[in-house]
Amino acid sequence: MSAAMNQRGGPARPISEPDANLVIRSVSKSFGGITALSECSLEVKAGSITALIGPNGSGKTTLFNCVTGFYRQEGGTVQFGDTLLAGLRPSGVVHLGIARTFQITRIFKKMTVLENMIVPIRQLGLRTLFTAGIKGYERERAEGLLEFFGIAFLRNELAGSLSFGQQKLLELAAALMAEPKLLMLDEPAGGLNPVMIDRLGAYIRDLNAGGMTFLIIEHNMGFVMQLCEPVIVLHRGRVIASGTPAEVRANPAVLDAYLGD
Amino acid sequence: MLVHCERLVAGYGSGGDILRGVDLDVDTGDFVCLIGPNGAGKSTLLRTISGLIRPRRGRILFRGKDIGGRRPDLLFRDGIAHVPQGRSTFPQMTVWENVLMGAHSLRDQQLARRGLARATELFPIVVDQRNKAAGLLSGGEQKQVEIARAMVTEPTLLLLDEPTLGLEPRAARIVIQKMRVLNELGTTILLVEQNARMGLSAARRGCILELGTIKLEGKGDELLNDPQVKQLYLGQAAGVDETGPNGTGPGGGL
Repeated sequence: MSAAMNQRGGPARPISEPDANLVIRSVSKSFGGITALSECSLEVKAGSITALIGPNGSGKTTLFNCVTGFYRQEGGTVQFGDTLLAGLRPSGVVHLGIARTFQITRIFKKMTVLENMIVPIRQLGLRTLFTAGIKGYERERAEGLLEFFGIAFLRNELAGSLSFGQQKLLELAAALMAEPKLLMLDEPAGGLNPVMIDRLGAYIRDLNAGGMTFLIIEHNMGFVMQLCEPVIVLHRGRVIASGTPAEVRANPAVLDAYLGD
Repeated sequence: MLVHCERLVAGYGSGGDILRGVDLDVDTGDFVCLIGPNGAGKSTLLRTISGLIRPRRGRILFRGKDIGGRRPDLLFRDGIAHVPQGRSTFPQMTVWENVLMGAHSLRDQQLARRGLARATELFPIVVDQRNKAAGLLSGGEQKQVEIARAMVTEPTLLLLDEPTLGLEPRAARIVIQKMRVLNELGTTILLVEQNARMGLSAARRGCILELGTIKLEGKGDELLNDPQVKQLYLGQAAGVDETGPNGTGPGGGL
């Protein structure tokens, strides 16, 4: 863990060495006759910052939902390290070290900002829900993360009273409380101001240097191309390209489906 | 002056003030882009102008009349249309039914027909996809339906809250182009956009809102080229955002 990271995010526990690849093989999913994923296969290498891009409706969020136990896939396998994820509930997936955020934030709006930060560690069973308050290391870490994302002054406000952008920052900070091995971010830059997007990129780099793997869905191509490698492109539920940002940007199929005019 | 906000203060419930004395003028025919940090009060300002929130202090004049505290449905009839953040189509209804909802407030059949004709001319997608459930459209298509619905009443002032949020680059460019066309045809636009470069490039004027007050305003391109604005508000990554592969998009070069 780099010194910079400690400064930005508060004291962090050392994250275990990257070891678990996320391997998705021939996963399909449809909704009432509409195919969202069609035998989709891809791999997220441990230690990478992998981007998942593609047009609206190409299946990116559906893939996230299949991996994290929100949807049941209709075929194929999803494997994290040695563990098959099929049939696991979202909480079981979190226990394996996979955390995620959502395109439309899912925070607890009637709880305070600080209380929202406790939820992920309670879910992990590190403390019971009946333990009062948040103390010591956890408090420091929560405060450090809130400080970094510029929302510490809102710690005692109800999360529902925050602006959309602030709620996104809170969700991200809460996901980091779980210290996951793999963090899956669904459009993290959407709704954030440009300066915060830069800070977020730098922070992701620091966490990645400390061993955290990222899978990021994003439409902000500036953010993706500067931060991520490899970049995987999804179109109509299938991977149509993957490679370095430069390779993907020059790929005619990608230009046709997504990046071109 | 179409809109005149004077020392406008507003907030939610028993919470603190979000807007802390906003002074803002929007001329008829103007296209103003509001940028600023998360939580600065941009969405709150739009909600206060469209009547969703009652101002605590200060004044809002629309065509010279004080509208502070006037009901949003009445303001809609007065000519203020608000397209909120996120998705606001009725997902189970067809695209055409969604657009018809925009005509709901019009009692004059002839006006309604004219408004619908205009909306379909500007947004052909609402005819092309008329029988499809709105929830089945892509994000960019849904946003066009929302703006078309708002345009049925031929509003004088269109308030748009982050219309490109969550849209793929191509769809975001289309939505921004549509805004330019609407403005050229005479609709006054007040746009909130986190993609500051794209918003400022499209708009005639830009305003920076921070901590509930207007910090700076100027022509869009002047703000884009101001070194301090660049450093404090425009960032690095967003500089290449939403552009085409050859940097042909409104956000500048890649």
